[in-house]
Amino acid sequence: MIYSIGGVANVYIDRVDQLDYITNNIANVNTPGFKAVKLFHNTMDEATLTYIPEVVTDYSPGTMYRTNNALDVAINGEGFFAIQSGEETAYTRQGNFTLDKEGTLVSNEGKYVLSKTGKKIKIPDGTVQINEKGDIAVDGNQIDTLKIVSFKNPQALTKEEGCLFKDAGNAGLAEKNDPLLRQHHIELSNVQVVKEMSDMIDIHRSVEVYQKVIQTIADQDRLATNQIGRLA
Amino acid sequence: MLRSLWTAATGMEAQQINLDVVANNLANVNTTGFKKSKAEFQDLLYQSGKKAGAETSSGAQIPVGVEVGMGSRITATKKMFSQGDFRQTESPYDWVIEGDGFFQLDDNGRTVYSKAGSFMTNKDGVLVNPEGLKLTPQVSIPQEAVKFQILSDGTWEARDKIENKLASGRIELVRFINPAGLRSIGRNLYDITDSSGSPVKGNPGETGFGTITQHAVEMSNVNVVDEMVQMIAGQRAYEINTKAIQTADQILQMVGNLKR
Repeated sequence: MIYSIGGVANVYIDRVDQLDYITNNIANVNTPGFKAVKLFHNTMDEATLTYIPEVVTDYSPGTMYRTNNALDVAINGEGFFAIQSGEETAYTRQGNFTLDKEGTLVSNEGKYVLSKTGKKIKIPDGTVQINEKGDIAVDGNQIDTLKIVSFKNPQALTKEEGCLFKDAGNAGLAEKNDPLLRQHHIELSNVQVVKEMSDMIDIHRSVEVYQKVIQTIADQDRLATNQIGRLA
Repeated sequence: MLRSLWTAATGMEAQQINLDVVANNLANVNTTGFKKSKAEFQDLLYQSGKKAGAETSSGAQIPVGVEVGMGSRITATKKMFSQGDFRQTESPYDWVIEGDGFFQLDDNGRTVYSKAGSFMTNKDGVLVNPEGLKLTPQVSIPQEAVKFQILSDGTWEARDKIENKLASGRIELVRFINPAGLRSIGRNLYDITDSSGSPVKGNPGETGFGTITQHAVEMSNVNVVDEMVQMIAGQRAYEINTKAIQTADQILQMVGNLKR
């Protein structure tokens, strides 16, 4: 048990931090390819009596939604698309691609989508077909293949604006040779509103309790300093 | 102050733009040649606190970095150029582009582009759109003409009562590598941008270009059911974001009341 105001305040702050994650999930309830992130405080650091924050990304799939757009691709099951982000390669589940003015396949933030050989993909005029392995064909002629990768330990990925994930080298990157892609679909956000709302209520109530505890400790302190030792 | 307040506010703002786009689509459900837009959501930057692998004060290693997201935003309103339904009309000057392509119109010397093929003749017999903008290349129809015919490849001819050919020509279409990057300038017109690419001219029926169908107009491609579902989902998402703001606000209030 924690008996000091400071100790309770630390737990209080932990709960408020959790709320930041919930709000971010809720704000991204409509972001395609978004993966919900949760903050947990399960293990205590004995030295400081504070909990060690633990961030867990929920990589469960979002709902598949048919858009009828030829350049919308969703990954059914495991896997990530590879995107050129600056000098580095980033990975995403967000497959609502588009073309730039040169006809190159780009993410909706204008970053190049990479092919199996790690190059940008130029799409000529015509009807685009993408099969479940990621082969891109235009008017029946195959032109390139999308790069799809998977990670042994996706929790080690870091996040970046634009639903991008980055690998610092410890996530167990591997080429995925048997992906299951679905053209004309996007993967919706996997945020579970019910879960987020109930967690939000939970935090709200706990914070109420912590407030009462802090007030009670403060009251006892006041009693101790003002009353004890005073002669009636 | 609480980060959640700002995060939820970005969510509300994004949902609001989403609803604006849906409302505009619904308002144009009967606009000839109208193409619907779609708001594209994206997450915002992540702020990292402790990096993965950092040590806690007791020497334990943090297995996963602590990063917190800052909400969402709308990156683009993408125009969806799927084909709308056709409606038969009586007018010989009502045309549909079946497939890819835009008509070129002359807006005071500047070329603008449109999908709406509902034309009429002005006082000089020149084909104009309902706003009075001339179709380019110009189509002039002589006064005596009673019959006008346009074929699927864009060739047209005007004939008089005794079937004499008075005038003929061929209309031209343009297409864009990335039509979704065009800018709507209202009145059913589009303007080129850096991301749309330059217009590629061609004749109807040529590779990549659509064909012309006479006596029909292309209706709006807005699907009311889809938009209604979008609207419901958008409104609920907006509400949930307001709840997050309320919660953050109430927690903040409690913080303020800690000291009595």
